[in-house]
Amino acid sequence: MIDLPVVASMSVTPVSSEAVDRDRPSGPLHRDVHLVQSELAAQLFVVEGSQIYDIDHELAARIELLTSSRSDAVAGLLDEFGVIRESREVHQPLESMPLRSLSLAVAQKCNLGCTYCYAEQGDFGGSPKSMPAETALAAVDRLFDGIKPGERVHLAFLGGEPLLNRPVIRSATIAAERRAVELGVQAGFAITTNGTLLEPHDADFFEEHGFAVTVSIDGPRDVHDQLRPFKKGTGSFDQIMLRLQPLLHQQRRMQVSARVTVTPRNLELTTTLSDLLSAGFHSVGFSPLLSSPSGRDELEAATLDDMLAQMIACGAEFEAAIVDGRRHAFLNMVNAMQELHVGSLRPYPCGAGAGYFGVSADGGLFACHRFVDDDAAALGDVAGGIDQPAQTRWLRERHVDFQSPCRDCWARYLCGGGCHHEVLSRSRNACGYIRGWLHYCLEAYARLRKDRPDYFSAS
Amino acid sequence: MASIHPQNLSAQISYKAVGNPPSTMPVSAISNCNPGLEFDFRAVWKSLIEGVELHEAGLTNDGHIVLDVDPDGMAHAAGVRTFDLLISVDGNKVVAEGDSPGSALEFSNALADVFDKLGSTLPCVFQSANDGSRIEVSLLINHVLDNAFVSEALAEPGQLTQGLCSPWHADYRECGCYYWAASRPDFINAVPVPGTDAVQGQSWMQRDLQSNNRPDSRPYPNFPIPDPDANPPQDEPPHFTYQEMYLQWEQKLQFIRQGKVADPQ
Ligand code: SF4
Ligand code: SF4
Repeated sequence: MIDLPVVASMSVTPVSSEAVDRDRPSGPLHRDVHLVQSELAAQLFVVEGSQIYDIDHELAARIELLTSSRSDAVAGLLDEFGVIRESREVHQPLESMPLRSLSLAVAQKCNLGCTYCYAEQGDFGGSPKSMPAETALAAVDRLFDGIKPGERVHLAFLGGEPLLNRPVIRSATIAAERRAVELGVQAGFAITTNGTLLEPHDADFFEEHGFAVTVSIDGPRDVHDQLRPFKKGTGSFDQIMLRLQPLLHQQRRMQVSARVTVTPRNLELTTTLSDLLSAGFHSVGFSPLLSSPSGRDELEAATLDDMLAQMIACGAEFEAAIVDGRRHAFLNMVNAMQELHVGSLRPYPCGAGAGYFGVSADGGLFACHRFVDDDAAALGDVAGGIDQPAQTRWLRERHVDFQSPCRDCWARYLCGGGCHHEVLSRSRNACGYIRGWLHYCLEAYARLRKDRPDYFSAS
Repeated sequence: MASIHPQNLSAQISYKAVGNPPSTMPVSAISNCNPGLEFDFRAVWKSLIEGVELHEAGLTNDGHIVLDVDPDGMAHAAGVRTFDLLISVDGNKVVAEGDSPGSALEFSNALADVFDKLGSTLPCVFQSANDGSRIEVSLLINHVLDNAFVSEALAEPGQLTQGLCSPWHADYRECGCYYWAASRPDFINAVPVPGTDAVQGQSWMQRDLQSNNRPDSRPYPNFPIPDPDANPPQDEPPHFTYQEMYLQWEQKLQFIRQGKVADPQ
């Protein structure tokens, strides 16, 4: 989905070799349980059901001993302590899933020339295209196909740079809103933009329709300008911040968030986080750059370790704020705390190819916005709907239980196996980062449960 | 002794505390909270309103009986006392209307609207047992759940099951009305009526196995209430009573084979 699952969006490190990873406290010791220990306390994470327990050091020691031996010994111990593990439905790959969330690549072109862009400067490696209004309206029809009152749909606009095709964004939004009212359905709207083409009237429109606006910003001005220059080479930061002002001031129904793509060139995450939060963004999230079409600016094992350290430093600021009773909008943490508290189980990293699809300018349905025009993830078209055998195959092949090494990883139902797009284009090179981040999140969860239990009852 | 404490919501609903029976787990319960098989949720409902303890089954045509009042609470300050009747909460009447012999079960239905407003303070109306006067006071509606657990403030460990003096007999009889999860055939000796689409037979707990498809074959509890000393003697109720189930189940229950009462030999 557009909102990347916490874990996948934060995903990633290392693992150039599992052996190195095993030496870390977050390393994979056992496929059914994971231990998080400090001097004061110990926590047991039970993979089946994403359950979290506080345990004492005696039990931790027994589990630690057993994790090095047969796996059924651990199971016996869990039974003895009353930990029920029943989540069979998670293991069954989905056969199909109705289409309820679409992102429209309304403009497969861009005015920026970001070094690492997955869409290869907007056109996905083809010729620049714009989505005709008829295609967008057909996609809207498809979104409501067979829907029942009370259901929800989600319509997002991406590119390239979607604002290069503003009229189509507007007509598709208005058409979807009208259908939603007629059918008694809730519609949510989102746009991911580089921010350089925003006009004051866009703020009015997004506010009126309650858009989730995500703006790609990669850090303070100098780093951002290196990573996200205009095609002619000049920096884009000042223009974005200027054009964003009406949105930042007007956001009520609309929420304006910053998405930072982390590369080896913008690893100062604590500074970036506080700068962007004080600039007035509703929330700020970080995603590691794991694969780019050119290979430029990808994070490698060492830089992923740096990123992890920075993420943890940002997490510490989040924790301090929550303990003080202040809101803190570090999105990766907000999401992680929520997901750990509920005990999310993700047999997939995201909704790609399940309920969520990316629509190309030509009306093709692809597994998500990043797979636009990629035959390996072509799953139908807006005119004919989902190609059912292709979707069933996708859902079977992409299930985390069928991925190696995921099937033996303790983090598998939090991570879901990593972003399909990154995994398919560059394999899993970030598992140490993912597990390291989740390990930290488990520690933070225990601390906040103790210090601010009200934070979880409120959320 | 090693210790373990569930923290997140999925652990809370997946954890079986030492001593708890399988019926306390969502995965192994049949979710029958009527007094009987699993637990009696009325033990929680009765403390739903802060400062007042309601009778777990004391619903009358006029209101719901108050069993106890916290002397330091708002209700007491407003004049509510033991044996007063709770008449309404937030404008919804908390009474058994008309002839409702299942009134004990109506307790939670009567408070169903209130369930959407847990944690808020709502106007409650009581009727004084002393002089029939009307007492209005706004009282806090307690939260029933603390995360995924039943709130310990409302029910201490053991309280949900303390009313289950006869764990299986009561439920066995209670679910006499074609309840899918019941563990015995409930419509017995069934045979097609020739020339029609109909079937005739008897309820398993029917005393008289001669009459078919009795209109009262979905019996509710113990009516009339059996009184062995009645003079003149009472007519026998059409179905086994709870007392008979508790005391004589081995004589009253018969083997059913292939849907028919079987010869015990
Ligand atoms: S689930 Fe798979 S991708 Fe995710 S951390 Fe584990 S091994 Fe890596
Ligand atoms: S596959 Fe697509 S939707 Fe899923 S995490 Fe990757 S980019 Fe996001």
